[in-house]
Amino acid sequence: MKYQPGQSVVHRLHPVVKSLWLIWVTVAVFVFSRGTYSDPATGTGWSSLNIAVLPLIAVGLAVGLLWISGVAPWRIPGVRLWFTLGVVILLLHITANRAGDPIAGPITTAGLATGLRAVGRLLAVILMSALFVLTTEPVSMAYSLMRVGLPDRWGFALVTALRLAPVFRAEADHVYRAQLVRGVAYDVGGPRRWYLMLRHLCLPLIVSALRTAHSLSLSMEGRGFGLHKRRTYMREVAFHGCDIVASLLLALSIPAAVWFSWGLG
Amino acid sequence: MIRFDRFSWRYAGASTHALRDVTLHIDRGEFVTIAGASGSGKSTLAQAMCGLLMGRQAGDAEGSVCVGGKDVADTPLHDIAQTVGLVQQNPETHFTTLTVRDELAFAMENRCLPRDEIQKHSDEAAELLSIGHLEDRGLSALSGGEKQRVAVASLLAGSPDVLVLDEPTASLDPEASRDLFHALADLCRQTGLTVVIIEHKLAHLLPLEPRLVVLEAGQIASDVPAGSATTAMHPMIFSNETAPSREARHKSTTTESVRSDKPLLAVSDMSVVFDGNIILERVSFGVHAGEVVALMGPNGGGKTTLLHAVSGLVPCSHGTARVCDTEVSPAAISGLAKQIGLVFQNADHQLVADRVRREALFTSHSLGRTAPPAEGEADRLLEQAGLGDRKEDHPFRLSWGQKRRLNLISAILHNPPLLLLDEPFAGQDWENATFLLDVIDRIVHGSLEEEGTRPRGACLMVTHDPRIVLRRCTRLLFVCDGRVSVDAPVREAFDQLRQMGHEAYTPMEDD
Repeated sequence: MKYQPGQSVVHRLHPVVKSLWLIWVTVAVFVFSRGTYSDPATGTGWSSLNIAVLPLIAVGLAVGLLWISGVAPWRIPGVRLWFTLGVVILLLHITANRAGDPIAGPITTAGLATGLRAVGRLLAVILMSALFVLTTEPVSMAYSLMRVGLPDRWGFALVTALRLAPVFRAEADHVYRAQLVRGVAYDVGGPRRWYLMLRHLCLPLIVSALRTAHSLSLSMEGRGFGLHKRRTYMREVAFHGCDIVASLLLALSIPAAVWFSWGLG
Repeated sequence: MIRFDRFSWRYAGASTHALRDVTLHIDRGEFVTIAGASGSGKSTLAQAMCGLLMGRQAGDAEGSVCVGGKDVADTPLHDIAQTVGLVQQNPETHFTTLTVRDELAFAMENRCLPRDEIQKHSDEAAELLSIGHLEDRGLSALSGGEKQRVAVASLLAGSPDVLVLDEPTASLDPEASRDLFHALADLCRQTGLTVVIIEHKLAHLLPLEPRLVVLEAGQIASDVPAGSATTAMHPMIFSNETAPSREARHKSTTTESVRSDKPLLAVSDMSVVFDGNIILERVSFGVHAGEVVALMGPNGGGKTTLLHAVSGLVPCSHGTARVCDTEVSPAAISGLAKQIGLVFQNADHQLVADRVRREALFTSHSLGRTAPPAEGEADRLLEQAGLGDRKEDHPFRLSWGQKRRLNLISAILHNPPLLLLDEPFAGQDWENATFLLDVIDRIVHGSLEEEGTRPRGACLMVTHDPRIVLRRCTRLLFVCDGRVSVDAPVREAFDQLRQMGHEAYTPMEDD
């Protein structure tokens, strides 16, 4: 799964606003959907499916945003697996949790509610993370973070990691092939293959990584990186109207979630 | 601008000086080439003028190096870097960011220039190296030559007085090398920048009339003023004429008689598609015993992919390749290893063992060839390669040239009939190249004891050096845009290349 370029409003959102939303949703679906089942007759606790509402809203939000950003949710790699896992979790809850009022057959309100909540939490986190990765260019994320206060060194550690990942991958590929034709029996299966890889692949890759890191540090130092405490940026990362709206919505959703979860008791 | 005064440098632990008593003055605006065989100290000289030796690496220094009036030994690196910009061999390890625009801005951002000024200077630098049209591109999408230009431009943006390039064309094809040198010469003329190029491939550099400084064993052997170094000099400097190859002697007896045999390597209608891109398209050719075939062409044209497809490392999407009558497929790699000796472009990539001698014998051993002849042969070849006293050393401790010799030895000890070599001569001086050529000769024509017998092997090698092709190859394949556009005996092929406008690949008159 990697960044898919696009022009949708989700793509254009400021990466920092997007990451705040991601963090908020991930926290909210766990913190604000708590509550345990108790007897409705005594008036304590909840008696309906309320606990599943927030996670399901989050799933709906994620699906809606994926649709807006032009990514079909079912095209996300691995989504079927997660969905199947969700169904299994739901069935487990329904069969295992017999508290609450019966709805139909073995299904009870508590079983259905806790089941839907678990599935909602799972899918909300998965889909929201996927949305973030698919619509955020990693480098602009790094640059945006530096603009809002992440130290340059950390930011550029991220940028160079993004830059070198494919370089090292190609390197590993080359070394693997070169050794394969030398007669290293990588084409045998099982644990022996892992042993051989550990034994023969590591050193050339570490040597090349160290060498790369050395010349990269020369190149960065030679161009004055770290010379001053601060640096300027040519990239403009501006807040647009949509960022302000998204931030406002974020700010409003916090008290709303708190109020809602109070209702759950 | 740059003053070396009786400067000597010895790396810690080394018995000899890397540089000895070097006195060299380079003035502002000069266009200088520093040449020399590998191990002659040219990279050390470059590092000294960029402030990367004293205080940065362990060793003893004598004499002084001054850059822009400041003694390098007691000036902080970022200060020297304002005066001298260093372009390293591999642009891949120079880039810090992911796009051309960010890379050009990087140095100026670090110096806290305001946005509009960064923009202005980036545009100017891009203009000077004619990469304006690339500004919005990602760095990974550029060709090798474009990458080196961006690397140069990214240094210009910091407005240095001197630009030092350490073998900038090591990974470039001849056309890209020629264009880069021209761009640098223009830059020097237009801006008054001092340009120092460390290089041992001089064919495309000497026509630009640089001042030529030649190093030998850490000392300045000659210093030819600008305009006096002519192309006629360059074979004299490096190509101490080698003995005519045995191939030449064999020629008359082999080529005709072998043609009727089955080819050692038969490629028919082969296509390779990768990620939806056509890398090779319907390539067909055969290589017979006794042939040494040169594979030339622009980088990215499919040469390396061709070698990999032939050895089964890359699956063909159409057509077939057969080596010694065995059909090549990824499933058959271990079986093919017996028939093929493949040497990769990067010397480090195929080192697998922890001792030089074990490394040499690795393939023979993993193929179950433990008989003493291979061991004796290994010792003999290592001795010839000057590695006799390094047998118990770790291969990673060898120099680049030594590793290259070891690579080839380790690829031939199991006696494969087909040698596939990817730029074996890149970064090698003539002496190393001669050793490699003799080893190739031995695979193709059998060992000396078998003199007079029919040739038993063949070699297909990627190389950019027309002098080697002219002297030692029998045939030339030119691969461009995934197709074989020329396939002919060497001299004929060079004529065709000239007609096609690819002069950069052809030898100069006095070669």
